[in-house]
Amino acid sequence: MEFVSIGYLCFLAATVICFRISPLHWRVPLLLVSSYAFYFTWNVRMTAALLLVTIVCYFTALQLEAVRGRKTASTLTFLVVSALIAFLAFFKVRPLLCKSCNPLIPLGVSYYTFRLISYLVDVYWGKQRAVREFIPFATYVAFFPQLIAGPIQRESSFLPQLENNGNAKAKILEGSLRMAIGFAKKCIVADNLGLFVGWAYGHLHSGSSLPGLVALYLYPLQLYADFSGLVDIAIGSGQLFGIAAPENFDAPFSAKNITEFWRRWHMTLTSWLRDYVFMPVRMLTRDWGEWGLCLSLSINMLLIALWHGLTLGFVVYGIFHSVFLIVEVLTATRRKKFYSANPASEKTANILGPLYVYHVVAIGSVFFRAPSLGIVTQVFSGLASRFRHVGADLSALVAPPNHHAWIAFPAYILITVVDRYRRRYGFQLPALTPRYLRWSIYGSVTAVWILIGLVLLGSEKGSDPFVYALF
Amino acid sequence: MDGVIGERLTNTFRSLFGREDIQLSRTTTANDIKEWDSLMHINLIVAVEKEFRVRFTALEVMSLNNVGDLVDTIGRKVGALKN
Repeated sequence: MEFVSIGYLCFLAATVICFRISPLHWRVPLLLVSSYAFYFTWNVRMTAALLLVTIVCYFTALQLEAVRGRKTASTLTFLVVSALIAFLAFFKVRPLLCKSCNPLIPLGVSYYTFRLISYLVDVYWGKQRAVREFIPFATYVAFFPQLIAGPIQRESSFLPQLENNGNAKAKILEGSLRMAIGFAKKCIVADNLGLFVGWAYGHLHSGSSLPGLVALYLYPLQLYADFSGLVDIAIGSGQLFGIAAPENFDAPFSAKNITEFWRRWHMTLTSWLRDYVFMPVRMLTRDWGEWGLCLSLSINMLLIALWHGLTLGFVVYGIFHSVFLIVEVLTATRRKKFYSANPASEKTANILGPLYVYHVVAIGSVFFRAPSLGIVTQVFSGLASRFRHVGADLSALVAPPNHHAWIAFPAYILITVVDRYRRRYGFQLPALTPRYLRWSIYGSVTAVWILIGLVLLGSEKGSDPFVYALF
Repeated sequence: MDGVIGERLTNTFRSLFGREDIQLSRTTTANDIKEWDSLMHINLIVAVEKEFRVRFTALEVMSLNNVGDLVDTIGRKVGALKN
């Protein structure tokens, strides 16, 4: 069941209605059953695996609390966390070892494995008490809106909300609007930009630099619209059940340097890796001075890259970003001193920062998108070509089926403005008066949903798969 | 922050973050000091280790939730050294 499908919308609507009309003590079991039903439609065997790892981690956490402070606790944590990492690594490595196997990692494995690892480590570190009741714990692990692509929510922020789901009513409109933004990002922006990027990768040999430029500059926007759209649908779906999730993006392309970019992009993954990889590794390497810092940053960045796939392209992607992170961290003190002595330079750097970030991210994204390093070379060598056939290439770029794809650009600007408003003020529409305005908005949202439903019903091929649902 | 450990810890914070206005309490966390990010956290741990001549384990550092936990851990370490 894809997020962008009439099936998902019907499933979600049915679950929300049942959730709303159920007595309070039935709501959490209902969410658990619907989450497993959702997962069951993808893969029966992986549903059994999800249940098995959930049971193992539930009892492990209880045992960890019983033996806290003893050597057994660290041994048990090490064994179970290693088993979880091996479980995840198996699906990542399998396509390399078995060419005939399905190259895609089963849905959600990354996300629920990360949730379980952080839960066990938090219990081991004494930051979290082991959850006594199995049903809320299993619901946390399998919560279907967050199963496809996160965000990676920690147990400490999720479980208290399950206990207090009487507030869900006020979030129906908020969640619907958030989902509508997600659908717009995916169907109007990402899919249409994907047409241009797809065209570019298919015309790298045209002898013009236009395909290279399109591949370089549009893919980061496509990736952002695709992934943040997916997360908007996930967060919006969760809000319908009264579950607020952490944000995964904070205007990443307005970052002034690469360090800031990684604090604004896939925030729940980067903060997860910061807490459970970077900090422990940095602790172990703290006596090595700047070398230890460089090593910790590189390991962290490489893991982010390799999580996307075990290919040479992702290794280069990780190293590429590591270099910028290391240079920025090592020069931070000197830059701070320089800027305090030259305030005008800081203003200039703040203006040029987002341009620098976008170019670094765009160059790195070629390694992310291109299927091989040979294609990467073609993209960059294409950039060095002259604008020889630019007229013919431009005509081909906007020819059918791409002739309506330009809509992505105004839609991107509009959605960026709406998103900025949402981040700053939220969607506090129920507080609005007068009543006619409120009901106009309710009516508009309903009309948008009917439109989305009709588009999905009428679409022959449906939407393209989400890029990040593959990881 | 009161106590010998609290005063020395406040001075360590002020020196590391370059801010004389830092006031610590047992409930102070990284959210209360703008410059206290994951990179500075390890620098802080190293500075505290130097100041109090103690050595933290990874588990001790990862278990810290606020400045109060840090003071207690330092207290245990220093007490153990004296004993």
